[in-house]
Amino acid sequence: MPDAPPIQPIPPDRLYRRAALDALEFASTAELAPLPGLMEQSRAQEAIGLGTTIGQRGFNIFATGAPGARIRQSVRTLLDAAALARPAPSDWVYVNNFAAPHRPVALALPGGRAPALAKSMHSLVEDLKVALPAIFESEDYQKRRGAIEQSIQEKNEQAFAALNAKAQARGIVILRTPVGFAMAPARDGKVVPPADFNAWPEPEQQAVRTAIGELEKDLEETLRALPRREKEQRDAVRALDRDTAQFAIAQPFDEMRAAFEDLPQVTGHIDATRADMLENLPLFMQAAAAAAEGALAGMRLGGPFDRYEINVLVTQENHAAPVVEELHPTLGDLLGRVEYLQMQGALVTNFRLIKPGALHRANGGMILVDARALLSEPFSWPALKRALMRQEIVIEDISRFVGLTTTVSLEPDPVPLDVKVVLFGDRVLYYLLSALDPEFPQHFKVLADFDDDIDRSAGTEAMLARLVGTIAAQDGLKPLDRGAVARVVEHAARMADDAAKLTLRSEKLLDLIAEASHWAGRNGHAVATRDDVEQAIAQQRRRAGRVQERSREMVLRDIALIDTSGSRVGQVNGLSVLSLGDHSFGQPSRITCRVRPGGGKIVDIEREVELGGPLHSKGVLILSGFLAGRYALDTPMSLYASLVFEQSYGGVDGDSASSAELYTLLSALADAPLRQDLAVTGSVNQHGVVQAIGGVNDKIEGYFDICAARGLTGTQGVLIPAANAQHLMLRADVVEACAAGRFAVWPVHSIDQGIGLLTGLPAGERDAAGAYPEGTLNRAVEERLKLFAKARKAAGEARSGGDDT
Amino acid sequence: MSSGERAIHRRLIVELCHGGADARTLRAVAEFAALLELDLHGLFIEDAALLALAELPFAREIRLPTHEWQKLDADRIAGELHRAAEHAQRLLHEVAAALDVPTAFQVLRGDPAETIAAIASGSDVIVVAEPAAPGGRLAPGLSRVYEAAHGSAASLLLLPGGFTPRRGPVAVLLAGTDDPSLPPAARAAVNTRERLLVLLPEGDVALGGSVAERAMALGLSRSRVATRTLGALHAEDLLHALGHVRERLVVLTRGASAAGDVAVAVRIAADRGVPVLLVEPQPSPAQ
Repeated sequence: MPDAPPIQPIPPDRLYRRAALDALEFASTAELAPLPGLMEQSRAQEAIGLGTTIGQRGFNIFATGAPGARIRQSVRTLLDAAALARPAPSDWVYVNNFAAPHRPVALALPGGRAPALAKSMHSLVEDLKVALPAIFESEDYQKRRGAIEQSIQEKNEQAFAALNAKAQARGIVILRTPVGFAMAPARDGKVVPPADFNAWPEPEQQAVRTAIGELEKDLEETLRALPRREKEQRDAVRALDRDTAQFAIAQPFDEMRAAFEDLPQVTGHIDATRADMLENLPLFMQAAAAAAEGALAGMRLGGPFDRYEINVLVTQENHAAPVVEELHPTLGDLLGRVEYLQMQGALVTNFRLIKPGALHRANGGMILVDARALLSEPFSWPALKRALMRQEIVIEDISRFVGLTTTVSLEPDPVPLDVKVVLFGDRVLYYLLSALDPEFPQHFKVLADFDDDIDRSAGTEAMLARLVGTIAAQDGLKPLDRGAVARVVEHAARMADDAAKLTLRSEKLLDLIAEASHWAGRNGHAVATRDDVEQAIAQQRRRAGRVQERSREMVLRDIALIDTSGSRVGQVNGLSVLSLGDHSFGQPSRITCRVRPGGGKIVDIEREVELGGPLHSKGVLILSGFLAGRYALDTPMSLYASLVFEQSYGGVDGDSASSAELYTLLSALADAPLRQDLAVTGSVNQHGVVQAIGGVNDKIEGYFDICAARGLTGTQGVLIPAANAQHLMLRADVVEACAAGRFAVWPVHSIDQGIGLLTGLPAGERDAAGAYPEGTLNRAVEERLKLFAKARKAAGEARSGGDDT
Repeated sequence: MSSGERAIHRRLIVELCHGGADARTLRAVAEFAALLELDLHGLFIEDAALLALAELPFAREIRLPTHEWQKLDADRIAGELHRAAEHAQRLLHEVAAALDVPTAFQVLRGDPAETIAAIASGSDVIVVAEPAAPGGRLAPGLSRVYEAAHGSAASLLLLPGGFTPRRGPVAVLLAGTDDPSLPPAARAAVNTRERLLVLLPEGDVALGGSVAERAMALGLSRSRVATRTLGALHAEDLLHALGHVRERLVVLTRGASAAGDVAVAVRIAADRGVPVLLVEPQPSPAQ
């Protein structure tokens, strides 16, 4: 490895990239043109554009992105725009199936015409409720009906009279019993008492008995004729009713039919309704009687006239393709449901109680569903897939799934489904569904992956400024002045943890703008200023900072041991980031290393006690590779080293401390003390190159806060991977301290650079003979390792082998 | 009723064994008792001849609706009559209670026609209803009961077969100012909040005014009293005068006019499908 270049602290102007906003001239966001739609989400936009325009099955969309990126709102904006290009879909109604009432019929009408059909039918029924009873009470009808009844009655009377006359002629009278008729001997029209009868001569008694025997047959025949005549009368009256009603209903039905004659299914239903009315005319008579008694039986839901109503399931009032959001996708809310009425202790239903689901409302357009909510609701996800597979909406009764009810229910006609489903949710949901549900890729072929951040440029800064203005205007917040917008833009870069990026987690920015507006109001500002935004950021940090403060306090009270001055062998200040909820902060950790002769093993104590994660272990193993490839190449590695995060009682993962661990190892081997006024972060590879890590800003600020609290000495600072210099968006107080020379951030490319800074010793390079120069750290390390090898060999010979590790 | 006029009628008698024990008829009867402000009196007359017949060894009955013949047994018949009486009484009380009508119920045994004739007085109105069952008129017993009612001192309420209560004015045919049909007709109009349609003989100009005054004294406002004149007080004239009125009740006085006859009243009831109250004129104090 060539000599490391001389290392210099990062200049203050590269510790924080201020927003320029050069592309926009404005004093406050009130002057900015609103930003409709999305900020630079071309990948997602193209995906949604494809998904909403392609006609093939299965090209539904799964939109995903970082939490707080306002995916739902962004997608909604795109879908609203796409909906304008789609034709308005049909209206759907459910009507009674007169032949099979448990299977209501679904009818499609051109968009917007369903309410007119429902209104027409309702008016027609209401009119007939008045017209039909009136026509049946008319003099003409009553006469004709009276004639029928009289005709039958006369036949009965004639039969009765003939029978009575015949009986009377033979001295017999007919008596009514509680449940029938009997015949008795009579004289002068009165029944002969038994005693008198028994006193009659036997021939006379026998004559009576014979007469009764014969007359009984006539009586039986007369009685048997009654039901037949009753039926004859009923049929005749029914035919009269039909003829009479036909006349009354012909015109209104013809008019209604004419209004919908372009829709054969609808006219078919109108004809069926007409036929059913003629078969159920008593309904109208009963309604008239109920109305006379002041009852409202015919008016309420569940009444006898429900059978003729039209249940408008969905109508397109806007004459545009619908875009429906379903945030609570229960089975019923998604596919629709059949409701019930409690009537006299029983649950009853009919087609009017069919309620539409979100799929009905979105049919012909687009539906936006929260994937997490969908997967959380029992039965909903499989039901949605079934609907997409069958391309029809079948209303499914959840209570029947679980066997909770045995009441009579409906099996409504399925409604053909033509909808674009857009799920939105976390990336993990998308990947899990892709991995675990084989049907998922079949139904959701389009991934709309929203970027978490965008490149920072004058153009994107200007765009973000307009977004800030749009959000402020939409939410009724105070406008932001130029300085405030700049601070929001800078905070967006800090949230992206990269000075060259801007976050797209606009939910967080929205919160910040809202809070800045609040503080502006409290501070008496008409327009939110940079100070108001600063105050909002500071307050956000303070609210979430309890654990951070406790952690810092532990260090300052020397409970958590962190030195910020002096030098120690085998000890360095590492840096880690703690994330708690939405808040993250950096904190220093003491990393130490002890060495002795051994079998070439570096023990990661965190790993041994199962507090270290796999990435951390990987970092430690890389150290072995580094040592093996650089030192004592002609002797076996005879080192035993133990590495530990002191006073760490939680888990440790990630490899961002691997450079710090290597520094402690080299220090311990070379017996060279490390500066404790410096802290270190960065991962390292087997060649000793220091590599970028995450959370660099939090880490620097975490160590700075400790140093500042103890008093900045001017020698303190942080070694960071040089690749992370581009990510720096440090707090103003850190930048100011660096500018004043009281703190420094060192960009490190290699372990040799870092160890030189930490020990004050040059790392050294092998000379032509392959040896490290005297006085270099590498020479000291190599000599120590050779000593370990000798010691191990000697110990091995003494014990005739064996490994002490 | 605001008038201080003493009501002629006190009871509305309905015979429950032979004629009016079906629920629909009883409900209509109870409504008339309420609007005429009468006590509802249910009579269940067990036919003594039937019980006697059961003592004859060859007596048997055909039972409905099975059309099976069965020997008449006195105990069984007595039991069935008892149960029928209980059922009729329960039904009567139910419909009367719903309309808050005072009721009485009486079980008698004897010849139904003679019993009715004996019990009915001038302060009674007897219900004459067409039986609901088509075979109701087969046995002559019912006709004898109604004939006895016709011959009694009681007034009659004729209910046509298949009649349905309806809304509409109360029509009354008056032969003179003192016609006894006016008070019950006015009472019915007041209690139903309907108009009173007074049908008067043509030519008597003063009669219209005095009838209106008397109707007002009986609690009706002038606007709710309408009068029409008839050429003659015959059934045809009356039917013609009623025309399309759709009246809910017709009130006539027996013998006061040519229309005031039982046969005519029965015809009006059948033709118009409307109940007819045929009021029996009371003997004058001098009589």
